[in-house]
Amino acid sequence: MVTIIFRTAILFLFVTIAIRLMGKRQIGDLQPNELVVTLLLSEIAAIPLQDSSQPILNCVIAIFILVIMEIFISILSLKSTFVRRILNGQAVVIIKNGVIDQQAMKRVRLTVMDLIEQLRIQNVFDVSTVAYAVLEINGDLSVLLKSADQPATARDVGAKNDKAVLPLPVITDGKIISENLTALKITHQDVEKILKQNNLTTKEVFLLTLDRKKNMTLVKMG
Amino acid sequence: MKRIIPALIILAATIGIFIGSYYYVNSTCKEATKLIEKCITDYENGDKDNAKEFKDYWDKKEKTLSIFVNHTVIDEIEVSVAELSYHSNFKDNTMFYDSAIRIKTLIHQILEDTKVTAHSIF
Repeated sequence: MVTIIFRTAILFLFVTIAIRLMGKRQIGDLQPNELVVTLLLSEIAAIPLQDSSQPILNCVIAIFILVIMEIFISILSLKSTFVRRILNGQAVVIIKNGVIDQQAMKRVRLTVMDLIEQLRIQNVFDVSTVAYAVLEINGDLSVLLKSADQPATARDVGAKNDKAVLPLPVITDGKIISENLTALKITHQDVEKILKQNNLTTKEVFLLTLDRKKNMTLVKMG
Repeated sequence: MKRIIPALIILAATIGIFIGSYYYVNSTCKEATKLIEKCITDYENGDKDNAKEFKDYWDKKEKTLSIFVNHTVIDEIEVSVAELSYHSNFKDNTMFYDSAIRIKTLIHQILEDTKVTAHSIF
């Protein structure tokens, strides 16, 4: 029993390191080689957990070989377009100027219903309004509407707009986040002043966000 | 690109572990084979403590060996070593040779499993 606890902890540690080395990606964003590594990792890690007669070292080596191969393949893909095309495939234009490319759809084995569903997900209900629809490598459909059908932007209507500023959390769960104070170029005293104006102490604040223009969002502790 | 350094370090460590384990398992198994053969010869010459040398050697090496080798094989050898000493004491020829040959076969199996051949890969 104790052996299993140790083996599980060791494997958890190694699989976590392996996933961390692979880099951050959502499952849906995984390239084919990354998906293969992820699937194999879980299978390999399960073997010594189920069968305690298997040396854990064999499993750890297998995990690291997979990660090393994944890293080298991703570097190769980065350097070579050919390798990238072979391993990951290529994006395919499905709709051009409102016209569906049926040959391209056959090549990627995409049905009309799949295409219409993907368009609806992108809030597009009329194929004729699409300038370009591209099926990405990860299976997502990117859609560019024709100029006349694109929503108006602030620039189009000549509206004056300020630069976007990023609000940062200054207090979370009653604790001041010092590194964000530095980023906002404010001090603890400034935060204390804001809290005093609202008759609050730090511990009574669930969330306080501020931006460079001193816009504030304050949520009291429940 | 920052991932290439940890990848190279892990690759070097993996190669190091592979080479180290290969030589360790090989030398241990070759020595164990020599000792089990000596054990049989001593038994035939009437030496009462014939299995002791092999048993001591195995007890010393089995823990490290179990890092690299399937534990089932290690356990089977362990049981056979205990049987070997027992049958040697009671001069049970058939059972003694049976245990000795089983140990030799299992050690040979470990050596075969360590070898990198087309057979072991595919």
